[in-house]
Amino acid sequence: MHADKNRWEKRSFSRSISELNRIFDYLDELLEDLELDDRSLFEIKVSVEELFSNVIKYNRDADSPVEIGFNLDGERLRIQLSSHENKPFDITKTEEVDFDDYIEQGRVGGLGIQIVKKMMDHVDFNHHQGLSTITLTKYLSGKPDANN
Amino acid sequence: MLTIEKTDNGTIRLTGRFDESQSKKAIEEFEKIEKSVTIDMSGLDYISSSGLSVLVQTYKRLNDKGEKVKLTNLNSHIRDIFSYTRLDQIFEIE
Repeated sequence: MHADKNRWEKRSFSRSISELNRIFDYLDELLEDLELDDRSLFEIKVSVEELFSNVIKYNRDADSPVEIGFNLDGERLRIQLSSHENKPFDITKTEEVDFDDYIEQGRVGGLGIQIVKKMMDHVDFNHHQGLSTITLTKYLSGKPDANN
Repeated sequence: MLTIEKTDNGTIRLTGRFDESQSKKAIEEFEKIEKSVTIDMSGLDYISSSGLSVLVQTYKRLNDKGEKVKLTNLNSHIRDIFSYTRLDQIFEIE
């Protein structure tokens, strides 16, 4: 992948969890050139899986593919998941999981978004004309100082 | 791909990638556990929230019967996920 703020590398995946292997292969192939440390690679993979999984679950009746795109601008890596869907799910508005309730109920959802928010530097959501787009930003050399 | 093995001393050893595509298989295996168990994660290089959910359900089911779940040999990335989600507060982690 080349550092070019105007260039997005994109690939489409069908709305099935069985696509995860293809997605991981895509990430390995795309991110290999960046020589990322193991931690960053791990965090990107987990975040993409969590969001892909959410996109499928919250719009089970949708049949459009999910497009996963990457853009590198200097040290800023942006990852986008886009999909046409009727029920936009704004993950930026989710509340932190109630931990005690989670354990008590043995619940199986909610932790994924919490993990993504911890691992990425920014998480944005946009829904326009039926197209939902989640954009993750990760600074490869660490988050820059907000004053700079 | 996730491999789940039971060793001679009763420890469950996880190897590979514990992602959502492996959840169904993992649930079937973990539902067989009836007593306190140690889960060796030395060969596990990836886990997402779906994997954590399987572990939480196992913890809940066993804990309700007075049994324990101990996790060992987590790599640093996986240990961080337990910290981000506060699950390090319920599991015994070595």
